[in-house]
Amino acid sequence: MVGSLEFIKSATGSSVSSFSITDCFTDKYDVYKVVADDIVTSTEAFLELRFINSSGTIITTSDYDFADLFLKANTTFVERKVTNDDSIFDFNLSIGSVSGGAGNTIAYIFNPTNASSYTFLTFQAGSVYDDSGTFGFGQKGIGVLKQASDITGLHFLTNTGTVTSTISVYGVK
Amino acid sequence: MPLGAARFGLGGVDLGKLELIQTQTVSGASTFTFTNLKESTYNVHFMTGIIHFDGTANSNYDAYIRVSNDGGSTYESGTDYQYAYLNAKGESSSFNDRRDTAENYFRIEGAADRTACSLNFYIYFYNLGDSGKFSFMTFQDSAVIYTGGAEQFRSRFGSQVYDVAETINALQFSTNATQYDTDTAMSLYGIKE
Repeated sequence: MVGSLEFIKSATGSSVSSFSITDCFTDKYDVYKVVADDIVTSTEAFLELRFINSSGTIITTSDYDFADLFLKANTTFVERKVTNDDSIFDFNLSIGSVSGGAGNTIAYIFNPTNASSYTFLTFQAGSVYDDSGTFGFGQKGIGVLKQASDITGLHFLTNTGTVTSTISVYGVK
Repeated sequence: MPLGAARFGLGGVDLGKLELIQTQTVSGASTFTFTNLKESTYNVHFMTGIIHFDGTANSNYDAYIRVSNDGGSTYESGTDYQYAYLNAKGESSSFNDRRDTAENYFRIEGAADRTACSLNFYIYFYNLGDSGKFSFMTFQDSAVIYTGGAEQFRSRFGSQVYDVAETINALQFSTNATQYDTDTAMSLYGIKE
């Protein structure tokens, strides 16, 4: 990424099953960086991502596609390919219940406020996971919301248990 | 202008919340360190680097990173590092999984000691200053190696973890080459939240 990075907004969830960052996307930028570090879940859990449109509605329709690679330090890597889901399910996998465990994802969001374009993202993540032991775990992925709509925010939810994290959004000039 | 910023095209712009901590150029050294991480200020660090290896011509070399919990007096060399990354190949050959659960360093798989070949990478480090968390990194590199009598393009991306929960306040680069060659340069940034 070339250019400047300008902080826009952050939001903190503390032992919650979901939380949002509203009004973080504007027409000022086409590309946004999302820094989701120190994601601590109450059990091994995925932190899912949904987008929020300009009406303030969390988009829960089956319009999300994503593909990512699970990079496991202890065993064969796994390709994940999902279409027509109701979230970017694999945004992060965390196991905060392990001492020292935390999830970390860096994502780039493209064209969120362009109502004539889908909203795309790329992401990479690092954490540990449980596989009869605690092992290094990474993700590299892509995703899209197949709705040409004005996206203004992010909503995060766990697939089980709760999450504690502060997630920040930056504009990329 | 920071050398790293210049090399990565960041010169002349406001870096905003990407705050430069240190740029280093290295030549003729087999190790070098970052001992001022400002880990109490930043939970996420970003590093860019260009490495040239000096060893035996046409041989391929790696860079290694070890962490320190005592400001750089010692660097952790136990088997507490894990990595999982994909080795992507430019030629028509299958990609490789690279994984290890008991390594004694972070591994940045390398490039050839050969004119114009280099190892180019970025790394995100997470939770270095958090005594209660493991230290994680995600990375991607781009390099040219020499194999089978030809130069071949490589890119690796993935995740690595130092699975001891403690505060990390220094980083050491080493290599299996003789030394880091002229034009090796790195910049370390903090991402302010």
